[in-house]
Formats: sequence, structure tokens, C-alpha cells
Amino acid sequence: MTRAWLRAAMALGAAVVAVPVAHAQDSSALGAAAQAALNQGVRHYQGLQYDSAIVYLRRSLAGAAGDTLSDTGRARALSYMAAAQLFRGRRDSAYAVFRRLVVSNPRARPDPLIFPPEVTTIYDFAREATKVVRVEAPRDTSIRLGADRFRTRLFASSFHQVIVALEREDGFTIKTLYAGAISDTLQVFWTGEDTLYLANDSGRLVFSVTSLTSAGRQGRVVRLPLDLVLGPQDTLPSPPPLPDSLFLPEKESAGKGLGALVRGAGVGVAVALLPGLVAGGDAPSGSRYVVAGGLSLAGLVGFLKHRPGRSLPDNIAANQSLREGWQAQVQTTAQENVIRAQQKRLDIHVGAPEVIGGGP
Amino acid sequence: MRTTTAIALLLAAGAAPSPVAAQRALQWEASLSGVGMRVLSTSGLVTQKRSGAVFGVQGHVLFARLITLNLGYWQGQVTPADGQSSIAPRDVVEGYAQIGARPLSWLWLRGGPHAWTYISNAGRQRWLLMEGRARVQGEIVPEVQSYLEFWNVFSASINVPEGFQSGRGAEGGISLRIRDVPIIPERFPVRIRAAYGIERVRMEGGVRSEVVDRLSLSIGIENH
Repeated sequence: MTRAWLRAAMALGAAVVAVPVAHAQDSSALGAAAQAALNQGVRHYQGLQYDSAIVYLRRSLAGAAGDTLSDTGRARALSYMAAAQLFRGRRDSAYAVFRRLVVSNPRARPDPLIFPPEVTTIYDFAREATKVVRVEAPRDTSIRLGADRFRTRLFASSFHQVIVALEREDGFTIKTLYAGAISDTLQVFWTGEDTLYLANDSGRLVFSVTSLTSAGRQGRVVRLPLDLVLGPQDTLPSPPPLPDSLFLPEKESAGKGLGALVRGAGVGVAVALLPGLVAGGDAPSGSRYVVAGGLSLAGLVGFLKHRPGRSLPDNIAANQSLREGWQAQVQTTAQENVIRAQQKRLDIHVGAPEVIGGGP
Repeated sequence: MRTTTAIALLLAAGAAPSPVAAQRALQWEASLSGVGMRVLSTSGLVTQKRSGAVFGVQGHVLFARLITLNLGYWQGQVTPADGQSSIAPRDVVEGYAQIGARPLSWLWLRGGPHAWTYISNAGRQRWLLMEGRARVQGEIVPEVQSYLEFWNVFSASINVPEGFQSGRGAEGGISLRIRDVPIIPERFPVRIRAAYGIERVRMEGGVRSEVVDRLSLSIGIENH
């Protein structure tokens, strides 16, 4: 009796913590009906109605195409279902559900803040006994043959031996990429040079990961179809011509020289006329011509220094440097394109994975 | 009058556009100057011509690239021109203290008192003018600037029987800034300036007027 109350209290506590988290996590769930069933199942679980909770959770997991849970939602549904099975006293069923969780996603874990240790312990047993690998690869990618590598990441449920190979569709092994142990994660690279097995410039190969049981027998195989297209490497575009706005004027414009002339000779003339302008011509002294002459001379020098059409060596040098930089870019691009023309590009499209054997 | 003003503004505009390189918060210039002066004093039918030289100092401070304070002081003597030996020479003391603004890098405005005193055996004649001045300046070539300045007298206090009627003046000049020379500190370039200015003050009735014609040379330092 005491034990039953303890379970109920733990489940209720878990539910209080879980509800707001659950809504946040599953906001991206794919299917509305599946999601609704999951929410119902969780609510029934929180109300300690385990039988009905299991019904709803099964319904959420059995969604038809287009009405399925996301990975996160699926892991959550399986975790609640396993816990409900355990609290119904069906330990074997809980173990089996957790095996399904491990197989569907080796990285998923029941949240220890939500589920009590007796639930997570069963999960740990299930994970240890289940030897599966999840393969992640970019859906579409291009690599330069001889320069780049195609990368895949493997996530293991627990420590075991794997064989990673590249095969033809008929199962013939072209190349073994890795054979050995995996504990948690592993990166496997392929250089793409085995494309000579393609009948022409396109075709399909299979990237297969075989998990071995503890006894060394083949357990589960994940096969990723790789649709390959071999083509020439893309060339770099030639640098666009430099816009005129980047170049400095190489010849003096008329404005600067004329401005200097006005500020010099113009003011000089004004100074010579000041007695007439200000004093009505009274008492003009010849001394003003000294200043007026100096101003006019300076204005003339300024005009000659900035005379229209005069070459500007500093600007010419700066523009030349700009042009040389652009020419260097053009040459570098041309050289890079020669190299690229000798390289092949391999476009890889990864299809839906196929899983053979190894689990519920 | 209108034509004169229009011509003056046109010339001022021609002298205008030139960026001021320095952007310091406090800029100043101080210089020693010598002024060759010609004074034409007319009273009724009598015209007295005097000439001479005054020497002094002048300078300005520019605060926050906007507010200016201008000060100047000179003294010297003007003596009668040839053929007027009956006229007494005069000692001259002249000065101004004006505040203003530089709303644009090429435009300076200022206003305030400008005074001079003639001292002779006959006594002292004091001229205190309240002026408003506008100066435009521009660069001819690097380090060489020109400027034109016009001013108007708004009121005057002069110890002569006639009341003040009008007054105005103008000055134009050229200045050369010397820097990058070993003996001149880099922070304080030297500026040499030559300018010609003329002003006329008329008294009521038109019987008395004073025309002062100045050729000034100055050398100073600045931290612009």
C-alpha cells in the first residue's frame, strides 16, 4: 500500500514538472492528431490512469503517414508508455518499450527529472542490451574528388563492434570504410574515389553500417542509399571590372584652379577697389596695391598649380595600384580555374535509410 | 550703397570655400603687428592728412570651434603729411575687444567695441565705435589663405560736437602659414599676414568725417 502511494506521488511530481516542458518540447510535432493523442496519454498518466494512458500513447505512436510524431515526441511517448507499463507491474513490457526507444533513437533518454530511477534503470538495461547505430549524413552535398571527404556521424546505443562499408545495390562490398568498436559516436569519412564502380557519371551506391552482437554475429544493418552524380568542378567567376567610382581623377578639374584664382586674384581686385567701395574713393593709398598684388600672384600660382587638365601623379599611381591588384585577382582566379578544370566534383544525395533486423 | 554691398558679398562668396584642417577644442592665434596708417580728417572745408605707424599685438581664441574672442592693441604716432606743417602730430592708441562666432569653417562673425584715441597738444579725441564684422576666408594653395572682412558701425561715442551718422570699413589680406621648418615648433606654426584695410566714419551733417587707411604686417604663432 505504502509502495503504491509512493509511486503515485512520484508520478504526480513527475507530471507537475513535465507538463510545461512537454508543451515546449513538442511544439514542432508533425501530426496534430498524434500530438493530441500523446497529450491525452500524458494527462492520463499524470492522473495515474495507466491503462488508458497506454491506449492513447499507442495511438500516438501508430499515426498514419503524415500524422506522426517528431523524434522528440516519439521518444517522449515511448518513455511515458514504458513508465506506465512499469507502474502497471509489467516490467517486461516496459523493457520492450525502452528497446523500441533505443532502436528508434539511440541518443534519446527518459528525463531523470521526470521519471524515477526505477524507470531509468530499466532503460539503462535495455540500452545496454540493444546494439544499434543511428547514422547521420548531410542530405545533399558536393565534394571535390581528391580534395574533400564525405562525412557521416554514427551514434551508438552502447559499446559494440560495427562494420561500415560502401556497397553496390546488389550487396557487393566495394570498400570497407571502418571495422571496429564504437562506444558513443564515430565519424566515418569517404573520399569519393570509388566512383569508378559507377557505370557512367551517375549511379547509386549504398553506405551500410552493420552492428554486431556480443557474440560477433550480424545484428542490425542500416543502409543509406547514396545517389551520386559525377561532374566537372565549378569554376570561379572572374572578378568584375572595377567600377569607375573607385578611381581617383587623374587630371585636375577646372574647379580647383578657378577657385584658387578667385580666392587670390579676385580678393586682390577687391582690395584694390576697397577705397571706392567703402570710403567713396577718399584718401586711397597706393599701399593697397602691395596686398592686391600679393593676392593676385598667389591666385595665379594657385591656378597654375591646379590648372585644368594637369596630371595628378599621386592619383595616377593610386589608380595604377588598384588596376594591378585587380589584374592579380584575375590571374589568381584563372589559375584556380585551371586547377578546378582538372578536378571532378561529386554530388551526393542521401536517400531514406533502410534498417534490416536487429530489433523490435 | 546697395550696389556696394552686393559687390562686397559677391567677392566674399568668392573667397569662401576652404575647410579648416584643425579640429581642436581650443584654438588660438597671437601675433605682433605693425600698421602703416593714413588718417584723413575732414571738418568742414578743412582736411588734415596724417600718416605714421602704430605697433601692437592682436590675437584671437576659438572655443569649441565656434565661439571666438578677439583682442588687439596698438599705439604709435601719426604726423602731418608733407606741406601741412601747421598741423600738430598725434599720438594714437587703438584697441578692440570683440566676441563672435564661426558658424562655418570659412565664415567668422564678431562684434563689440573698437576704440582709438588721438592725443595731441590740443587734447584727447576719443572714438568708441560699436561694430559688427563678417569675415570670409579661403585657401588659395595649401598654407596660403586670403580673406575679406567687412564691418559696419552701429553706434559711436566720439567727443566732438557733431553726432555720429554712419561708419563702415573693409579689409582684405593674405596670410602664409609656415610649418615643417626645423626652427619652428611643430605644434605652433608661424603665420605671416599682410592686409590692407580702410574705414570711414561720418558725423551728422556731413561736415566731419574720418577716413583711416591701414596697411598692416604681422607675424605670429597659432595652434590651429
